[in-house]
Amino acid sequence: METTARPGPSEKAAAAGGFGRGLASFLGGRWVIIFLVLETVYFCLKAPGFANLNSAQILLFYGTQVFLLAVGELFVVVTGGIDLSVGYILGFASIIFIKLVGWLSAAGMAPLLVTLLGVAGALLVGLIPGLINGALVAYLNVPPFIATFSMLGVCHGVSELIINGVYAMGLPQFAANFGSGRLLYVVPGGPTSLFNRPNVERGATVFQIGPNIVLAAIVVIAIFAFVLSRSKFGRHLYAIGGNVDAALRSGIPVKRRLVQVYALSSFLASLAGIAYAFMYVSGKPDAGASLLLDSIAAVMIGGASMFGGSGTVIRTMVGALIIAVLEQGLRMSGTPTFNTYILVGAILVLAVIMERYMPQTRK
Amino acid sequence: MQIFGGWGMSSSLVIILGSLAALVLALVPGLVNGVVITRFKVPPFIATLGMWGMANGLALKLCQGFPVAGLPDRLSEVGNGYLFYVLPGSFVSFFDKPADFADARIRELWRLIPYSLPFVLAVFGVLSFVLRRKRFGRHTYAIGGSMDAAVRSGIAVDRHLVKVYVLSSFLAGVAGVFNVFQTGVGNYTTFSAMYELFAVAAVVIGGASLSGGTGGVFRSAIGVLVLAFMENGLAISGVQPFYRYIAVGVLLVVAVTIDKLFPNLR
Repeated sequence: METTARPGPSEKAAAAGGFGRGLASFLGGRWVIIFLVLETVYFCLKAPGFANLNSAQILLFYGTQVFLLAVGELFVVVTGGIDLSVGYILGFASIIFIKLVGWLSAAGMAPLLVTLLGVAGALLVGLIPGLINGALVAYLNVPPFIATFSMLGVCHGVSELIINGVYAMGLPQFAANFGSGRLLYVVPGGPTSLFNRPNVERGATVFQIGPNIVLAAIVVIAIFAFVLSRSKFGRHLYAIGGNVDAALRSGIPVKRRLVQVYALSSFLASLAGIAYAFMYVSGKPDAGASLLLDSIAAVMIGGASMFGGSGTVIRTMVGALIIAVLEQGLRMSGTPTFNTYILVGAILVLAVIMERYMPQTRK
Repeated sequence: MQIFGGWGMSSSLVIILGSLAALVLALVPGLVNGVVITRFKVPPFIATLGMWGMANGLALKLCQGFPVAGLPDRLSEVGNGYLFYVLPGSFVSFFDKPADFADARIRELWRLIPYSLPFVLAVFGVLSFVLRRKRFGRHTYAIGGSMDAAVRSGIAVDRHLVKVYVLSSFLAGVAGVFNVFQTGVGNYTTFSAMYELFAVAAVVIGGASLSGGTGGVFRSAIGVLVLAFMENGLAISGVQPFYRYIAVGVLLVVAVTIDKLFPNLR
């Protein structure tokens, strides 16, 4: 598990003004993390085998798509918009990636070069839906909800046309290995190897640490966390979400920023799609269809306001972790996955209600 | 949001009871939506997205991931029936497909007016009347036009909004029951069905503003017809079905853009 923000000692001071109010403000600021901890403890007790290193890694592995989508969604939400197309952009990018790799391999290039070119190409193509979304929102004043909703339909249609009824499949062997592989393999009392699984006899214990895809995602997310909280670009987004008029008057190129932010969301969705292709060695149109709810829920649970101007990457990641833990926990305690939808929907609504009723202790 | 009731064996009583139960149950999500939106001030978008997840999960849970089959045959006969059956030059029959004629002539049979047509027209008529002429409809426009003005003029906005969400949920329930009648099985809604996309597109193409206060039932019906004509046309001209998603998306954006660029068209 990542070590995200923990309840620090500072909330002791907040409790000074009356116990009830202190408790409320303590909960108001921290209920998401408390919820995550309680949830994790619950599943550790309920689901056998939940509380071990491998299970935690698998949790992060399957959560990768939601993590990436949620970050992109957060950027859009910070500006006061919404991006409904991310799920289908994910599917679109996974297909483009696999198809590109297929064509380039057929042209007889080396596997490594093919994969790199495929990633670059899919990312470039993956920018297009976002650029169109952004242009519609910024220059034609189409409400974000409608612009991205249409893009959802368009991406779905185009993906189906490209694959023509057969899921895109196949990657060079090393790419598939990378997708499902880990960074470190440690044989107790033996050698430690990077990337490659050591040849040991079947049944021997090998500690597998750090799924490659998860590590790559963490790097990407860290970069975007930095961009949102420290860069000028990030500040502009908060300003636009807080008050568009003020942002315009203070000379922020609002329209350009909006186009950039939708392109960025689309870019992250494409990355998630490429990660999907690496993980499952296939691409399909509805690969991310169910992830839209998850990614918006993660952003909302993380305390971002629908109206823009607030939210951070770390809090969003806590929100995404809540969902990932929930999914993994339910899977491991043998509950059908249908329950996940019900619970995620309920938590989403609950999160927004909590946000309304708990006093705000954050900025 | 679709509730598909799976019910027991045969007899028309079972069908009627089952439909009624499904319709009553279909009120629940709307009620929850409405209360969450008005009482707890959750943005409608989020509340209904959450409900989307919950309803989807519940539907899948109820049917365990498989369509509910084994429904009475009568169901799909009614759902796919026509009001008139006419064989030119020999007979006209009401309601039932005439049994006693050669299979070879089945292509000459005219089937006129599917049951769904009068049914949908009736629903549209009632709703259009309510929206245009009744206090309920006036209040709906008032709230969409200016929330503050509506509150000040003494409209019980919260209660009204709950009713609107219940109505929407009820109509989705009607659509769900109707779907069972047509297909003969109770099925969960797949992700790729995108009924939401088509519904929103129809309303917007019909000229309703997304910021509220405008729109009409029959104008939305025209929006639906635009989409239906397009879909049927694409299917008949042999275009791949996936183009419809693209076409709907593009139409939706074009409609909104026109709405935004020329706000004084209406």
